[in-house]
Amino acid sequence: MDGIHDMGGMHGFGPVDPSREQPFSKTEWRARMFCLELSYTQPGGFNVDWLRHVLECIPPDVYLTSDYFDRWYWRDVGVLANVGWVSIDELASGVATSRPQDVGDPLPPEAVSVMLEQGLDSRRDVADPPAFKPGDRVRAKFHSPLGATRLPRYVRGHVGVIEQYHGWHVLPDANAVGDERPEPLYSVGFLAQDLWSDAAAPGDKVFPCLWESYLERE
Amino acid sequence: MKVPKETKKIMELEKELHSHLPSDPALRVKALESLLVEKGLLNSATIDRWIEVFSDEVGPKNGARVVAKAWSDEAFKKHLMADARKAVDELGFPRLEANNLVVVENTPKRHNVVVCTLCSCYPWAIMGLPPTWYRSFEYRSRVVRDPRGVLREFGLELDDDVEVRVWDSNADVRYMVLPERPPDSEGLNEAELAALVSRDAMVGTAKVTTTEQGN
Repeated sequence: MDGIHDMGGMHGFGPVDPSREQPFSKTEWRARMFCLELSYTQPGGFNVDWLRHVLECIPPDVYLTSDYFDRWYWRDVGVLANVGWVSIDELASGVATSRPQDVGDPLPPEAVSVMLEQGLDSRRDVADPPAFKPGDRVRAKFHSPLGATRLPRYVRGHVGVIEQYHGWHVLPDANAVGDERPEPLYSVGFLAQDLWSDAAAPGDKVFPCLWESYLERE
Repeated sequence: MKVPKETKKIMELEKELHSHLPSDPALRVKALESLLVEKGLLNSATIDRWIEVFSDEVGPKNGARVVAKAWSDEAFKKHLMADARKAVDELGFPRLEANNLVVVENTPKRHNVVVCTLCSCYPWAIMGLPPTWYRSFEYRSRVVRDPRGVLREFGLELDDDVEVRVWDSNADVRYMVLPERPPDSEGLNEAELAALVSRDAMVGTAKVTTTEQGN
């Protein structure tokens, strides 16, 4: 979706402050929020593409004025309220008035090391050959659905060159809504001067990862 | 369970949640944690365990070991550039947010820098949590468009004849930069080299020198 999250190339933001750091400890709300997200029982199971899309649905003014981990809060309460597992009154009071049924036990601390060890992987074992190979010229489609997508606005309609092929990965647009549809994934190189009229150096390049259905042969 | 997934409804829900809940995030997060525990959806000890993991067990020290080994061992470097995940497996590092790891190499004529313009994707298992600046709107919006200007804000000035390559981690592929080995580091062993490699050098916003300690 054409949301505020799709920030690559936007004008108006100021200098980066490399010295800014935030504390991370058991008593710090940001750390607890971050780790809560990795720990709670997610309705319908953990789906990173759905989680990202819900975060993108936060109103733009709230997105811009909330702390990074506060945006995680708004996302996760949205995920939970969407299925009726929490209500606004409960979130305000911190006291439960109902309990979801048949959700099993929450993730125990012993399960953390397995999750850390294995992580999640969007790659799927598909033997079919990809449509493009490194060196092929491709154009990023003008693809702007209201729903989830990982095609950044800044490359839409532009021509780039396939740099690397990464195997088949589930397409976020479909996976976010529960439809697992793997596609070949590529790093595609775009010349900065093709993307921005004020690019500083003609040889500089930007490489987003693009799924095959985002691309057409040029 | 079947989860309803309608973008317009989620947008309305997010607006409603924001207009009814108190402003202090620390209070809201505390209330959310106790609510989810009471509902049987969360074990607080699991949050504590994750915080220990990200405080003590994963972090840029892992990545620094990979860099130092690549500088010292040509066969390892070849393997790392061809299949970073398998090469890093040899060192016994975990895989969370690093299952599809790609290493990009800096040279005297090519400088790589990593961003996630859409959110904040980062190779947790190899580099820990992303720094605050990596998650900032300023970095996300500007480094793809004006990488040289942003790098200057980190104190890094690149010559005009150096090609800058910006890698956007908008998919599940996670990037780590293999920085250039400092020229005056010949006598150092792997552990001494690893101590020089900063987190920022592996994102591409710094170079490695023998004069500064890594962070």
